[in-house]
Amino acid sequence: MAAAPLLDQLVEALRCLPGVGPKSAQRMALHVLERDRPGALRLAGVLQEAAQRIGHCRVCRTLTEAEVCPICADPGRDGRVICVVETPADVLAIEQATGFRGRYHVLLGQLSPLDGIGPEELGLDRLEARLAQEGVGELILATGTTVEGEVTAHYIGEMARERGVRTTRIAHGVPLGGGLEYVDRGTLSHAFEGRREY
Amino acid sequence: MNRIQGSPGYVLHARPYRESSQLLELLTPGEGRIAAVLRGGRGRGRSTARPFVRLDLAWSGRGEVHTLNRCDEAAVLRLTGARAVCGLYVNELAIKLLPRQLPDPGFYAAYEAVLAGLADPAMPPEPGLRRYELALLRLLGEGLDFIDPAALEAQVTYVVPPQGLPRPAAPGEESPYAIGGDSLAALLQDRLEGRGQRREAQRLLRRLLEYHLEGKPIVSRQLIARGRLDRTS
Repeated sequence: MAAAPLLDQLVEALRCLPGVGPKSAQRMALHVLERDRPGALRLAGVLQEAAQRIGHCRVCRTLTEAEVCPICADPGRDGRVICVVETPADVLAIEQATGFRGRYHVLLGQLSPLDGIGPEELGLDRLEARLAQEGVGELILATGTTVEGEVTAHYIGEMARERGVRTTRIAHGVPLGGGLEYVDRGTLSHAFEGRREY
Repeated sequence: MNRIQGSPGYVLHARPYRESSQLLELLTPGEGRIAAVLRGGRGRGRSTARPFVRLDLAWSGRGEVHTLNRCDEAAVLRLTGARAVCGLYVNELAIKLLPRQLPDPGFYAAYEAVLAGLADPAMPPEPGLRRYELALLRLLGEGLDFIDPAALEAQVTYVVPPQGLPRPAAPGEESPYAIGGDSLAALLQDRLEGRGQRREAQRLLRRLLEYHLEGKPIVSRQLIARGRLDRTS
């Protein structure tokens, strides 16, 4: 049976999602058409609205449909502590895993000289402006543990130090519930050096 | 079909490729700088193929981009803070100046040495960086080796133009490639002393590198300027 062009288009469009190859895309397309048309209409509507209306928070740059995201707008949160992360997904991860009550700054990337991403491309002037204006007392560097994440943390740390803002970096080490023998060398040596009073 | 079984090497740059693979620029002693794909490299969240790790590699393939068959950690160098920025600078120079597949054991040794120096908090980073820059310029055909340091006069200012022989500066000449005789001799004999000599040597090497970069910017320099080198955390 020759597939309808519209169905081809749907399958092709679904492949823009991560982890979706041709087979999965076809399965998804046939599923919504055969079994869940209301779901398909709802998905289409929400997807369209989200793609059009969700932008970046004016203050912290995380994803939000408002001008200022709920975290930045919440007066109950401590504006003196800012946690710097790379992506909006990191904000969600920290919100779900920790009791952090400060605010965020989302870089939407990391410094990567070899890809041509320097401080300007990363918009670090906006973070610098926040440090100047908001009376920040502590900056928590929660960038990744890649070389680029380390370099990003270092650069922002220098920026904060010049302004006399205390900086901290989240700890890296052995995952909970795991044996040491499965931890890679770099992580273990880092964890070992970063040991604390017990 | 080119097949290499077992070679050390370092990642100069890794970028994501397709869903879970990585496209790597590698530096190896036998083949120089090569490009290779590591399939499934990003599979479990993190990869062994990252900068500043000595790797045990095996690859095969013809054409410009090879396929990695093995990529195991042999030794991890820990570069943190400003030293990680210097490490990226080292890699950025290699990516932007080193032609692919031009093996040079001397340059590979200089690369290993600069990383080892940067990973050792007891060693100041600057001398290692200068030696590395000098090794890179040698590979690019700058004839600094042909200068006899003993024949240089300490008080004379020399001009060391790219792709040319050094000569004493003409009276009143202002050249970007000018350097004092004592500084030039110290640079070539690896015994730079004092702020003045180090500055002069750094400036000459930078100008010569800029000549070869042909206008390509070195982005990591912007980061070094901010995160001052004398701080290492």
